[in-house]
Amino acid sequence: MEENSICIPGERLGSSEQYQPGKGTYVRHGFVFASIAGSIKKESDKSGNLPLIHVQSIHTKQHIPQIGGIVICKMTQLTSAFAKCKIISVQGSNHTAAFRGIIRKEDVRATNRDKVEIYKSFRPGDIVVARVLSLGDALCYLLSTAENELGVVVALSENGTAMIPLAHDQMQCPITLLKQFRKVARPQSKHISFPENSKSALTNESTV
Amino acid sequence: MTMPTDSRRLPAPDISYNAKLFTEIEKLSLLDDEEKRADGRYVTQPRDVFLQCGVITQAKGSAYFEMNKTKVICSVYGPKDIEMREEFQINKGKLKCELKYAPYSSPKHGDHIPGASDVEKSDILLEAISSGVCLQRYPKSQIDVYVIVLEDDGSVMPAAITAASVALVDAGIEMYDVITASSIRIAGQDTFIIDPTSSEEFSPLNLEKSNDLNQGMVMVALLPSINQVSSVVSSGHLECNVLQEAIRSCRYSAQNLHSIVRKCLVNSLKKILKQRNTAK
Repeated sequence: MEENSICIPGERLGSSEQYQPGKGTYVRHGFVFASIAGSIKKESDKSGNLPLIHVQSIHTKQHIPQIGGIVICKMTQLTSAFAKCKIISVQGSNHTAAFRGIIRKEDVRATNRDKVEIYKSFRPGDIVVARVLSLGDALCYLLSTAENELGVVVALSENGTAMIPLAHDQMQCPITLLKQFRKVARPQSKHISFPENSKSALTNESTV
Repeated sequence: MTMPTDSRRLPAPDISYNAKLFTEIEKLSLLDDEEKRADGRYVTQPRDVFLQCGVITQAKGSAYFEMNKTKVICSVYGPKDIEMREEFQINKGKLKCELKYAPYSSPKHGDHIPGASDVEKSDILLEAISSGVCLQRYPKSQIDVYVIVLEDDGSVMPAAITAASVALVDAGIEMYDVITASSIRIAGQDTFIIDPTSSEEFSPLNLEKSNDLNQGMVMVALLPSINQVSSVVSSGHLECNVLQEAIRSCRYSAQNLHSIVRKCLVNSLKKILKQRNTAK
């Protein structure tokens, strides 16, 4: 089978003694089969393991939240015990029908967990980067922001401008100079693609 | 003018018979003297098919399948958040299937409200395709499959199942295999009519002129590359050995459809790749 050739689900890619099954494949009766349509990719492993075979999807794939994965969500509802949000993006794919998520009070930050106040961490409409803790219950995914890199990335002040982060727990509006408490995320460009209007906020932050 | 109905009383008589039963039953001959069917095909000859995926831009994946006058279109949405909390499963995704006949699909104008036969056909579709989808890779999510029959000229279920599986692959849903299906009309022990049209399909009023009791229809859905049957539907009166033989013929004819499905999917992938390369 030539490199880069196209396969459809159910096509046999090789023996499981020959390859390690990767993404877009499954193993049945000792053979590796393709489970999605796409191009076949083989990667040789340097440490002496079997070469990895995976199928790269050509269609734009819709990702679903996975345990340990990073998601971007928008805050919808706050109570003193938890914050509810809708997951608007998983691994760069946009969701038209959003999944629902919940951030409990204990999962907002890693330190001083019992002193967390939800109202001082998020406001409705904030864009938050979070990690999936568990699949949760029937209604919601359980999310966490208890890491420096996780938390609010975009927050609008009362007059609608993007606020500038001042510290790990504070943001300021550049026009009204109003300060508000937030669980601010330390920006990490490799995880997040920022919308246009928040870019100014980021460049300002690096000079602060 | 219709009479006002009394909801406590069933207005229909206790026993009723179809009026057609009292007329001379017209026993049709499915084959002419040259062993050819009404549309000029031989018994083992399926209709020419046309298959295309990516026809509905709003859907995640879609497919259009045509067998002469039988036309179905299928769209797939998801994976997305489950709608009904009661149907929730933590470790598995949920597949929702809906098969609808367009009101203009058959000579008799259809109803907008799904009847019992529509619900049954949706269930057959769900059964046939759910064993082909890797549902455990979509925990907490729902995948919606909508099939609309644009024109009905027999063998709707095989067309719907094949179209649905192509649309699922087009949506990038992980699957064990594509699913192809085929149906056969049995008119006597030795007459297996592949891919029947609606006039050839089995119904109690459409009996073949013969004394053989084996009269019926068989539909088989197949995972062709791993050669597993995902669904069998049979109706009518069939002896065991006849049924076995019919299932074997259906599998053979469904297997033949696999190359067409593969060609369609590979062509669509190549087209997307080509568009992407020219865009660069």
